[in-house]
Amino acid sequence: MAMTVLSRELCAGSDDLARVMRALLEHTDAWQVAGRANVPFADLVNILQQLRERGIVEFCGSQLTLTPLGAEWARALHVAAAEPVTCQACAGSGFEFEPFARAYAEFVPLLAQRPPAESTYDQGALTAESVFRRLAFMYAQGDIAAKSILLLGDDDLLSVALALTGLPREIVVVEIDPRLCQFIQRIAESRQLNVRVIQHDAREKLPSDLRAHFDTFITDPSETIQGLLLFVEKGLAMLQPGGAHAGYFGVTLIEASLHKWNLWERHLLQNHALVFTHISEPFSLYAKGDEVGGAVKVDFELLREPSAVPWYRASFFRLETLSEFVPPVDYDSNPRDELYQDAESLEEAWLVLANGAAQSPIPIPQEFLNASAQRAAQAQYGLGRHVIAEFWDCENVQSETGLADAIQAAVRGARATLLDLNVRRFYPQGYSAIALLAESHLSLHAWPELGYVALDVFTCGEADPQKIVQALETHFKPRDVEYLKIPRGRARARAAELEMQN
Amino acid sequence: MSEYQNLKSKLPDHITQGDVKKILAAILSENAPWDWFTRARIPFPFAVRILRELQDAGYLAFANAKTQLTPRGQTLAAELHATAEPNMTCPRCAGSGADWGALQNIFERYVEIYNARPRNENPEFDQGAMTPESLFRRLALMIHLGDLQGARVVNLGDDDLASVAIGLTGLAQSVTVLEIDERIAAYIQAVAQKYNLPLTVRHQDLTQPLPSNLLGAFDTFVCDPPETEQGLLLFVEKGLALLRAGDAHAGYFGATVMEASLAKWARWQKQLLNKHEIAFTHILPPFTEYAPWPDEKPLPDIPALATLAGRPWYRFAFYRLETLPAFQPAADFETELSQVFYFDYEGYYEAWKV
Repeated sequence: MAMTVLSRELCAGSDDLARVMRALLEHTDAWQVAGRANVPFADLVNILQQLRERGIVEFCGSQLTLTPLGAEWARALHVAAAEPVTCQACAGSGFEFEPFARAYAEFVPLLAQRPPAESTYDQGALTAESVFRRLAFMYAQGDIAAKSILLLGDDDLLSVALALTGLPREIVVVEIDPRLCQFIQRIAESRQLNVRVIQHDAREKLPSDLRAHFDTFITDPSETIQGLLLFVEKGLAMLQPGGAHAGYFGVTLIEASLHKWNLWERHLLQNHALVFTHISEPFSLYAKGDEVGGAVKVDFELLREPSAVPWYRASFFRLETLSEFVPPVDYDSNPRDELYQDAESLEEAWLVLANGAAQSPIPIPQEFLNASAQRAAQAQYGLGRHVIAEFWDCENVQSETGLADAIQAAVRGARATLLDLNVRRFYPQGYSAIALLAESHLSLHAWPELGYVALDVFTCGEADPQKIVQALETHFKPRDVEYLKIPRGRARARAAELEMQN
Repeated sequence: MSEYQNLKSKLPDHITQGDVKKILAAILSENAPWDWFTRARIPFPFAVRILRELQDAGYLAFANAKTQLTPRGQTLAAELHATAEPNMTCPRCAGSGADWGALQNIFERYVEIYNARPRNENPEFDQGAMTPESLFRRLALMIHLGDLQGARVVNLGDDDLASVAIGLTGLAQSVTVLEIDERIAAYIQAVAQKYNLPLTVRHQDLTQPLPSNLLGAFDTFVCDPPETEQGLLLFVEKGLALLRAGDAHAGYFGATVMEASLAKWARWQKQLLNKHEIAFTHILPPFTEYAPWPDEKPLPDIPALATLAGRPWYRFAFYRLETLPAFQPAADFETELSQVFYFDYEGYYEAWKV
């Protein structure tokens, strides 16, 4: 009971408290506690301060110790230190990089010369070992040898490591930082490495010759909700259509709660024909003193000195495309989207320290309403929603050019999954399109001579057919529009629902 | 016509170009034929079907007790960019990333208990046990992630006697086993009494409703579900019905790509994420090995596979999910066995149905 009171006072779930307590039993160094606790960094700082106020933990320089009262709390929470179980041979990654020993020896001095991390670009570099563990991991999945590989951002010089193995068919780096671009370019030229560097801000559309071109993409996205999706979906847009292509990205629990993980996983599965095949233990370590946001900006005894050993760690996700995969349409990011900072960012910890106040919860964008609310909404609609639209006097109906892109974007915007799309032109005029969605279908018939388009959109689940209709309205620019909305399968679904309630 | 088009015309639609490429890369990479399946990461019957076609169409030849790609087979491999890949799996931890050395003191006792377990597994229950090393790697991970310490753990089906190993660590507050096979249930019960372990065993058919006092009562669930689409969901959703409301409870389950395509994995992932307030935190490489099982069969018409492997080759990936703050235990339900073990052309035994 007392524990519940404590965790309520701490504004943290009892799980966060338990995680921090476990980390405190295993480590005394504050940075290592932060690396092990698996709670957002700002929450950790907040919890540590409050634990000190309550006499549960003592600070001494950058060291932390549990007081006898703290040890009692740990027992009450059923928290015990875990024996070290990380495999020493592979640092918990499960893969060895021995076959790449030569490339590794060449890589280490190069990484050391890299321009220092720049927080403007949300940078931070992995240790050389971590770079090669990732490389071994990807290689073991068959995603490197003879492949065409895209890196969206390359703080870690992974492109150089890949090229030094001599295995990939093609390596392209898209990087925003001109210093890094020049640095990689110089190495590539002097060593005749097969790396093409493109300086580009990934928030904008990528060069069109990169689209639907690659076998594998790798990115270390920022960890806001939209930031991660932006990077990963850009990566997907650059993959070839069809199955067995791979995407990799690093994610932490230090700057992202599991709540965000859930949103990302759901969003990606729902909108693209892909599957997650691997989510690793966080074996990727960031170089010491080079961790994201390494400079401590507020005087806080515990974290005054940068860590002497790496502590900031990331899990590694692998996704694989399914055979019906179609690369999504590339897009410019919405300038209103928060790509780099949210309440779970490392930077937020300095605000917590400065204000001494509990932070505000993470703002969740409207489209990510929690699943149960969405399910409740869905129950009203029965099994599906069907919208029939009549577009009259369309300005843009003469040709089917751009229609496939418009349909893809519309489907994506409605968070539906496009499985198949077929656009057919008729002679002398007119065209039709039919899209098979994981959530039902869309059909469209255009009579350019009459300026008329007949559109049918049927979706089940969370996807909103109205959004698709609106997006296509923007494409065709009709002067006059009529809608008919039909709920589908309502009576039976309602009956089944009542039966469940009884 | 390209070599692939020629081969494709002989294969059923559900076998993709990616599948063919993966099996070709596995043949190029592994000498031991049963290891092809481990490397290929596609459903076993798909792999066998492709091997048969490769053999019949002269892409694959067996000579001097060795199977190799013929020149045409090599052309096909080049066409699909299939290349030999050395095995990078860490030999010390089998790719799990976990070292169970700290559990050495209970390992021997567990192995003794494991070796004395009732055998002649009943194929009707989809049984088969993982090797003790595999189980201990899983255990090490669960401890590392804090999911056993002080926890109320429930095992849904327990052919591997994981409950006994968890009990022996002395870390869990309690372990409850729901097991359909009465012999295994009785054996676990006897072991629990003999070693004074905090185990409760219940005879339970998971297609039937669970005892209401167990719903929403556990911190951690562990299971190894069957690999049909509904079979896996049955076990995992029953597991989710047993977890307590709120966050930071964990569910573990094994899943293989040897009997489930990635398309099926995608349907599982979507279904579970859409219905429950959870996130997948780990999908670890297939480090879990099945020990050779009683009704394991060779494939007489494929010379390379005409004798049994004689060592573990069937592997599982290991999933961990964690509940979010809004999590509510799933509603319990009942179903029919036919809904769970229905025809599924990704299942192991399909390979013998020519």
